[in-house]
Amino acid sequence: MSSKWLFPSEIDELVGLLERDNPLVHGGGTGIPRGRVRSSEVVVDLGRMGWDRCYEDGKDILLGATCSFSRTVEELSRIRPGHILVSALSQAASTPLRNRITLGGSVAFFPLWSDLMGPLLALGASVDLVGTVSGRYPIDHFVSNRGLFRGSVIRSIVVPDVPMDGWYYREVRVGFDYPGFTMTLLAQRDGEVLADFRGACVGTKERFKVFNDVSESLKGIRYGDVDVNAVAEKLDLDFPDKKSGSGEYFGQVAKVWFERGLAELLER
Amino acid sequence: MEGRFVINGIEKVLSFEPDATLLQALRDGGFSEVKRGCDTGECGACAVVLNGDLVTSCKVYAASVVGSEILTAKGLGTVQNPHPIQQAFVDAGAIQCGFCTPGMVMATYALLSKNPDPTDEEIRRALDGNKCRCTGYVKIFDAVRLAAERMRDHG
Repeated sequence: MSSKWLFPSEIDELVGLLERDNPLVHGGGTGIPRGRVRSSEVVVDLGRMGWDRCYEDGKDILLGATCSFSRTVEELSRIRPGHILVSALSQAASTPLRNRITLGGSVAFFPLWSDLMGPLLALGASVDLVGTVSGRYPIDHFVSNRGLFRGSVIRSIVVPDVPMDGWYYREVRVGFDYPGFTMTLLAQRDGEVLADFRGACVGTKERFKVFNDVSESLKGIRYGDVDVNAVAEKLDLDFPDKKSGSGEYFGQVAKVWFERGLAELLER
Repeated sequence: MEGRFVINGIEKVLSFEPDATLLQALRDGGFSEVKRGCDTGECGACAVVLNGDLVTSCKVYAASVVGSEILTAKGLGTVQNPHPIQQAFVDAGAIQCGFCTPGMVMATYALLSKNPDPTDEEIRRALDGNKCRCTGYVKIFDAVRLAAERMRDHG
């Protein structure tokens, strides 16, 4: 089959294509499903939609779906220096890939190596969709129920603009290895008290775990009163066996890194 | 399909299949200096500068970047008149089998275009997508430092 590439530049045009042709959508990143291009009548390229910028929007930061990781790091560093996403995305893949990997593609495909999802889940980000199911949806709901969102594409990722200290870790044997898991921790201080705490681990049996229980148990506690070891010990993380280690091994390692991360955040 | 590109400063029309990568389109178009390595974006042998950014051309659909400006190693210099980066790779002994060299040179070019005086950490980071299985990277680092020095001194 000879596929036809189309390059919409307006929302109405894009939505019309999504409804009519059941096309293969290409965001411009590293997802190169060549077999699917070969078997698709229509490939819709999002490269001309203008969704390649990051900007502030009231209480949120909007990250365009076709923003590459490099551009996100560059622009977010200007908007919010030291943002957890800057730290995480700087570690993903390699320079030529960071110049191509897009935020939308990484949310849609959820590859562990992209280092994107942990921070987004911890931050409570949402996706802004256009197509058959338009609107904003919590990112955890979106990635857990992809079937519900067929015929829609991600226009932007909406990140609440809350000032929090962040800590990010990727478990790798050597720098360019695929991570066994990633861990994101965020803390907000109010004087001596931990006003807010959030966290997420990506790479578990259910793909990810958001630390909602830990968050609730830590909110409002004085920094000096947090028993880091006890909190880490109570973590409920279940990992699958992977090439780089057994599930049990990753469970232990994850607790150690959680403990180190929390201790580091509390000492800041 | 056919698409018009600006390759090494010259307009060129390439023919390619709808599912062709930029790597395929370039090689089929005669740009054999762009090497085909892993086909998964991990080795960097096929690296080119696309609209100013270093990319692995095996991870880019040709159809998706029609109209773009592409720079390959051949666009930097010739055997008779090599670019300072290419000459630095030769002078530093950073070339053994040479297969990774075009990608390394393009990564170095992308780095030095934006940062003429990089630290070792910045060099490591800029070349983190390019693998070499001969040199052990020490001489490649020497070559990047030498190229940076020469380009700063001579513009």
